[in-house]
Amino acid sequence: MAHVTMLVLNANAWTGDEDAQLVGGDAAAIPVRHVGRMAWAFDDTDEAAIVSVEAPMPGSFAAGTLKATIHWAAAGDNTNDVRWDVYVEAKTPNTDTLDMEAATSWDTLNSASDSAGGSTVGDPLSVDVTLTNKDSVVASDLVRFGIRRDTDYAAGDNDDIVGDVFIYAVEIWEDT
Amino acid sequence: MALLFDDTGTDQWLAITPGSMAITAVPFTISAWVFGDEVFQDGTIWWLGDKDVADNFFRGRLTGSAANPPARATASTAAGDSPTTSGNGTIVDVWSHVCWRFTATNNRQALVDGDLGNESSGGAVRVPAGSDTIAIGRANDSTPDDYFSGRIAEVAMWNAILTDDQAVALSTGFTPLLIKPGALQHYWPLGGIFGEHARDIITGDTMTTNGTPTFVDHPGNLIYPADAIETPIVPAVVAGIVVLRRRREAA
Repeated sequence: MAHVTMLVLNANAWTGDEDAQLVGGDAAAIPVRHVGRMAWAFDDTDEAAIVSVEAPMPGSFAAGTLKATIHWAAAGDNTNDVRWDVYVEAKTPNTDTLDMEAATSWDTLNSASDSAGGSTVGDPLSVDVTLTNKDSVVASDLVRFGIRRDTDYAAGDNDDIVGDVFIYAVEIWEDT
Repeated sequence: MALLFDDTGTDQWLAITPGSMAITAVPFTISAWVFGDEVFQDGTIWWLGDKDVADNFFRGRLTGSAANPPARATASTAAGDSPTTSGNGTIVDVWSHVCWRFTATNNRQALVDGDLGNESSGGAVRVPAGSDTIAIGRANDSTPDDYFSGRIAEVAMWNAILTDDQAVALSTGFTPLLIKPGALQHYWPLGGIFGEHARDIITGDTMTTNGTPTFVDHPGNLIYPADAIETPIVPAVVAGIVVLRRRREAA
C-alpha cells in the first residue's frame, strides 16, 4: 500500500460555498487567519461549506481508491466529534456536457467523523475520508472538491463539537 | 504596488464610464485599502454616479473631522448629501481597510479596519439615479473636486451586502476574490501580484489614468487565491536504478 499524493489544496485554494451548491441552505464558511495561517471556519450551528478551485487530475492517477485527508483543528473543544462531508465533481473535457458557467454535477457525499478527544484544544488534527463517490474521476479530468460540516449529523459519532472548527489544508491522494 | 495619488501638484485620479453599469443602486458593498498621507484629510476614495450633474452619486471618502480621518459613506441627490461617519479613524501614513456597505436607501455603513463596534449606519433616504461613471481618487461629478492624497489599493465592488464576517475578513488581508466571488462585479488591485495597471480583473476594462499617479508599495500580508498543487512522484527505472522523479514542483 502506498500513499500517492495527487493534489494539495491549501486554504487559499478554496472559497466559501456562496451558492449552497453542495446542500441547499448551507452558509459559506468564513476565512480566518491564525498567527498568519489561513483557515476556513465552520460554525457549530449553521452548516457551512467550501468549494475548491478546479484542477486537472494528475496523469499518474490510476483510478484507484481516492482519499481526502482533512487537516483541521477545533477552536475550543477537545472532547467531542466533527462530521465532514466531502464531494467530488469531475468533468472529462471534450466528452462531458456541463454548462461550466451555470451548472454543477457533484457526486453523492462521502463522510467521516473525527474526534477531538484526547487532544489539547487547538491541536492540529487530521482525518481521512475515503472518496467512494468520486464522480468516476480519471486522470486528466477537470476536478474540484467540496467540503461541508454536517452539524446536525446525529447518528453514531454525531457532530457535537462546541464552537468553530477550522480547515487548514486538504490532501487528495490515491491509496494504491 | 499600490497607486499613489499626490494632490500637491497635478490632480490625479482614475475614472471609467462603462457602456453598462453593473452597480447603479443599493444594495452593494465596496472595499479598499487606504493609506492617507495627510492629517485631517478630506478626500474621495471612490465615487459612483452621474458625471454630468452636480448631485447624483454614491461616494466613499475620508473626512477631515479628526487628525486620523474617519471614513464616510455618502449618498447624494438634489436633496443634498447624506453621509454616515465611522466612529474610528483611518491612520495617517498606515494602511487601513475600509468597507462600505450600502444596504438600503436609508442605510449606509462605513467600517474601518473591521471595527464593527464603530461602524457607521443610517442616513436619510437618498436614491441617486443615472449613474454612469466610477472614479477612484476624486468626486467625479460635473464639478470635480475632493481629490484624495495618498495610496489606494484593492478596490472592489460587490452587487450584494457582505456579512459582518466577510467584511472583517477583508480587513485581515483576504483579498476580494476569496470573498463572495459570485457577487464580485469589479476588482481593481492597482498593483500587487496582478501587476502595475488600472485594469479591472473582473471585467477586463481599464480605467483612464488622469494626471500621473505612481505605483508604490502595495499593502503587505494580503492573501490571494492559490491553485491546487500537484505533487505526484513517478518512479522510473534507469539502468537498474530506481529513480524517483517529482513530476511537477509546487507553485
